[in-house]
Amino acid sequence: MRASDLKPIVALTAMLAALPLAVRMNNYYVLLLTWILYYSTLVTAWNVIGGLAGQLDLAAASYIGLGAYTMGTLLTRLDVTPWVGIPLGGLVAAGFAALVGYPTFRFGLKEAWYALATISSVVVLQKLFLVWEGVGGPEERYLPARYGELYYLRFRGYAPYYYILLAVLVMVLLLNVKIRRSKTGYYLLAIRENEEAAEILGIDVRKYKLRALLIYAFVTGCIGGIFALISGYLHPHHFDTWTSLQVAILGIVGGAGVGSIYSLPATTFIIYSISELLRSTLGGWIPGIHLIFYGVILTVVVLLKPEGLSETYERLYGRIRAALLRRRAGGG
Amino acid sequence: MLELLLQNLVNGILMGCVYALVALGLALQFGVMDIINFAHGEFVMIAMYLVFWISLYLAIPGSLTSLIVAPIYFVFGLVVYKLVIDRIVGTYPLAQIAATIGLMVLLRNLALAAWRAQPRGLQYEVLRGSVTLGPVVVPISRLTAALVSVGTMLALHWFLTHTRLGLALRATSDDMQAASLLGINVRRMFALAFGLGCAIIGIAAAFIMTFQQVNPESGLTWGLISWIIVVMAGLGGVSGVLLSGLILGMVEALEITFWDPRASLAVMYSLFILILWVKPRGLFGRR
Amino acid sequence: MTEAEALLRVRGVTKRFGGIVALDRVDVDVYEGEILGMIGPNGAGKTTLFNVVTGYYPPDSGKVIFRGEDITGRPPHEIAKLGISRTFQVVKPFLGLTVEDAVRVGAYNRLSDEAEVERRVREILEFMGLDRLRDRLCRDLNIVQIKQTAIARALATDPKLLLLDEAAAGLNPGEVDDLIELLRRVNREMGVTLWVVEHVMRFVMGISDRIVVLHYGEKIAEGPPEQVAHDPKVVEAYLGAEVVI
Ligand SMILES: Nc1ncnc2c1ncn2[C@@H]1O[C@H](COP(=O)(O)OP(=O)(O)OP(=O)(O)O)[C@@H](O)[C@H]1O
Ligand SMILES: [Mg+2]
Repeated sequence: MRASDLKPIVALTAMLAALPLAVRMNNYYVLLLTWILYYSTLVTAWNVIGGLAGQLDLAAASYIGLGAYTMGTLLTRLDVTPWVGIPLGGLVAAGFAALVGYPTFRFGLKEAWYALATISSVVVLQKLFLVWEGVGGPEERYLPARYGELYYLRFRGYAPYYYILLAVLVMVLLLNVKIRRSKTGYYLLAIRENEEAAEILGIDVRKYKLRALLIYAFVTGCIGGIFALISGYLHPHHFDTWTSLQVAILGIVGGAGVGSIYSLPATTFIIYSISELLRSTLGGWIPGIHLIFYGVILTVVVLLKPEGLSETYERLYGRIRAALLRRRAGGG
Repeated sequence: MLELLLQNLVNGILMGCVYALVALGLALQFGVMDIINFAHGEFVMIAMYLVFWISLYLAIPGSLTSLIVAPIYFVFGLVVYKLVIDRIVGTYPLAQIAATIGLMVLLRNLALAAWRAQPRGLQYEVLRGSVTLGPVVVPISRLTAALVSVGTMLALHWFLTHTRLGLALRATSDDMQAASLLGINVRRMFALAFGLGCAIIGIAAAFIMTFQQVNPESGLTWGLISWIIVVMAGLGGVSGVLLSGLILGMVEALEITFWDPRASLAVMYSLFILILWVKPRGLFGRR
Repeated sequence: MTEAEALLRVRGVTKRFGGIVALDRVDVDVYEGEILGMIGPNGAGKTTLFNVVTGYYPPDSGKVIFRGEDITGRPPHEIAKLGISRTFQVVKPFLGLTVEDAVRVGAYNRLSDEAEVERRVREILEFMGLDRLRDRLCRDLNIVQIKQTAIARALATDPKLLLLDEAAAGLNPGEVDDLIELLRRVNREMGVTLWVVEHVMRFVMGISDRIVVLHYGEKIAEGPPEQVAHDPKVVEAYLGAEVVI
């Protein structure tokens, strides 16, 4: 990893770490920021499969749900600490991902099948956990209310979770940068651009797609465990197709794999804030207005700017920089 | 137990025909322009609402609304084709998928905003009652729906094999470039396929409403069922779609008999993954 | 030359698509160090033969043997590891990658040490005259540059045998001459055996040591360029076609 790769991460971390203080730890805003950070980590993890490997994965909620149930069940039944339960949840999610990915990543199979198989998996797991009374069932299963103990990782406010998620985001960003600069990263990009050409350059397309999927599913499963700690209970509706769609939409609109990785948290920040604003102002009259907004923005961006918004940010950033430099030059 | 199984199997076969009809539109679009419409299930759901409202305001039986909804949906299909699909044919596969997913999210949430999550069922319907055949009770509504489904499929099959337009559609599906060299306007064929696919949804929706309710979430289930059938059928033509629908209906019947009805989607899904695993080109595909 | 010396042996390969017999019991030998040309009218089965050799289609019958090893039905990435690479008639560029990165992807085929990869990429870019385009996205290249990049990334995999499917199509006469010059150097300086499919006769006659002719999936002639050009079967196959030998 190069020093130039680390600089933006350090800057971003410092900025994000200061944000809750900037809103004076106001509960509503900290909660809002926590959700923004939650989606940012998910989208940034999604970049590995969606951006680098170019596979439209819509199973984020499957991995989240599996991670949540694994961690939560171990915690409530066997008193296993989330420190262990969270990574185990990641492994379970990765195992499930392999089951879906192995057949659908066969060389030469249509891209659409993978998207279909992944989004369907969310619906199916939700139904299965409803039926599977031993672990799931239609009742909420609450996590132990042992607040403030590090063993249980349960907290009353949202700020601790915000900082946990911030740590996760930094790790996921580093992971992305590391993969992008490695052989695996170049191979994934080649696969995304043209699978057939990639094969004859010596790339085992299925193996590398699976590798990307397992990394992504593991991370997302871990985030699912954290999600369960934040929400405080387990329920089959944690397998939520909407979450999957939202992650993919934010990834596509943010230009995953095209421009800088930082455009993903940036897009999440902007779009989530707008949608939250819409929900809190117009949501009373038009329920689901914020969700309609996601549909509109995705369709419009795909039709008009298929490469996503990352380039737009870069141009904007370039212009701001130029303006600043000009002013400095004029001043000095 | 045997009686229950028999009853469920008959239901499964009837439902299988309906499933096949719902998937037929998607299969036609996929075959001709190689695009999977992720909003397909949402199209079905919206059509069901249309059936509900038309039946309510015109005070006519739901089954009769198919005569109105099918042409409306044909035009709807042409409009969606012009606005969205036409711009994405032949582009990046990812962009194609993403665009119709945008449509899916949009339609689903518009429906939620307009009609809330409350399920709606028909008020006027003539297809009531049932016939009893030995131990098996067959509801007239489901029987009619199955018969109409098979009839519509036969009609489409005839259209594809016996008319100039149908042959042009098939030529486009077989080899787009060759078709355009023969002077076929490929884009026109795409629009036609999309419109026809939607009209078929219109017919299906009217008859499904005679025995089911609709809510904004129904779209995903109908989408899933249609996708499974298309994967199973491969590029296997109308008969492949019908057979796949029947298989799916019977698998569901067996599942309901021996396990939990709430898990039927899960079993169908396992079938989907299994087929991708062992026969990725479908059970009935020519290619 | 004896059979034992052949780098690649294609034996009795048949490939059908539905009713069409695209390849009908085709035998071809490619000898180490040579430039073998392959011609034939449209639809003769040239691309299909390349697809069978490089593992994209399994043949219905017949064998492909590379350096004494049976590689029939192996997937393309394994074949690449064994030392065969190719370009495509329908160019399949990595549009979103820079020229340098496209070449780097190829270089990883045999090398894993980053410094060695870096060196190989630089070498290939210089050899191909692509160094000034290294940071350009393939999306922004013209067709000649795209085709050069396709050859460059294939060469980066360090192949023993390189299959070129209509590399000269769409080039003007000057560019064709440059390509001939370049491929001769690839053959001589890098020691890569070449098997080229081409419709541009100027190119194929100018560069090939030997020529194989396919027609309706059958091999109808084989030999030195002058001999093949005057073979009555070949003349007949091309009769009425726009390409005149
Ligand atoms: N994937 C495929 N499916 C069906 N038919 C195919 C397929 N690939 C090739 N064919 C058929 O096989 C025959 C040989 O085609 P091929 O592309 O190998 O010819 P070619 O010699 O490369 O022609 P050209 O000079 O036009 O490139 C043709 O009739 C073609 O239509
Ligand atoms: Mg060819």
